[in-house]
Amino acid sequence: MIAIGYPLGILSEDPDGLERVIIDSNGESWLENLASPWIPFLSWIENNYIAAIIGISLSVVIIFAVFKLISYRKKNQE
Amino acid sequence: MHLPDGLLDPITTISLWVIIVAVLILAYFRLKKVFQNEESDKIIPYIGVLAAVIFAFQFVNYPIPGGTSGHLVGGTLVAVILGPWASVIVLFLILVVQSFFGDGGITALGANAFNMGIIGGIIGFYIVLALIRILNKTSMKKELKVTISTAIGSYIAILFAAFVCGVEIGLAGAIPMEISISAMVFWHIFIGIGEALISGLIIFYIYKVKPNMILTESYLGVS
Repeated sequence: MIAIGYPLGILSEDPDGLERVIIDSNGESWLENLASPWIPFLSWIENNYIAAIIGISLSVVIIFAVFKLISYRKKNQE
Repeated sequence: MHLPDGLLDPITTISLWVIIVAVLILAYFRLKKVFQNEESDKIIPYIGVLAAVIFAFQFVNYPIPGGTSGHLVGGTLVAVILGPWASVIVLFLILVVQSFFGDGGITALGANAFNMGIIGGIIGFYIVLALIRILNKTSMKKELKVTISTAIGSYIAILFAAFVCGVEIGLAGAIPMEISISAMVFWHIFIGIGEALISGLIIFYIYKVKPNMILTESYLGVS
């Protein structure tokens, strides 16, 4: 999806709805200067393809592990 | 619709964290039905794949006229497939992973999970349920009833989530309330069309290839 989306022009890097509302009201620099208590540790990945692959893999592993744990605990309770 | 850190005020941030933690605990206890039989372990890889699909769709933005873009939220879609309580957990975990990339803040995670998981998932699911009750009075095919209900339910849920997001921004004082609500709802009138189309098409596709993957079918009461 990502691999073919951008070259075909069906995907966009424009700001999303929330970002658009904030930028229109307060400007782009205001949005970029919001204080955050932490630095997102994967934000250094600028390549969309790599970020997507890592993100998808992490999502699968974390959700698989969490639901496996829920299932295990539910069965132990019965 | 991913709120960044530093945008919301502390009271709104903490309140929404308390709500989402309470709903996650409740969701854990309400998940009994999904894991009640011996076969339940077989659906876990499927939940993982669904999470991958939602992450991928949330990651990519489709263009909206006016220099804006939109992306799937997927709360209602996941809720129709897995049930409303599982959808809150799935959406919360996806938002955690996205926050690693800076897509949505870590302190704003409670608010983002509230908007996309609770409103998109739980409220969206009950909108779909109500729409199916209405469509049950017609002679339409079962898969079409669920597809249309999911598409319309997703659209309404996105607009409602955008409205609530506008209220949260307004409460924080970042943007005057009347502007934040109207602007958020205005842009999501267009963004919601993509949400409705993608959600409807995925449900229709699942019904065509593997309808038993819709775990909520008996609960939806579609006839």
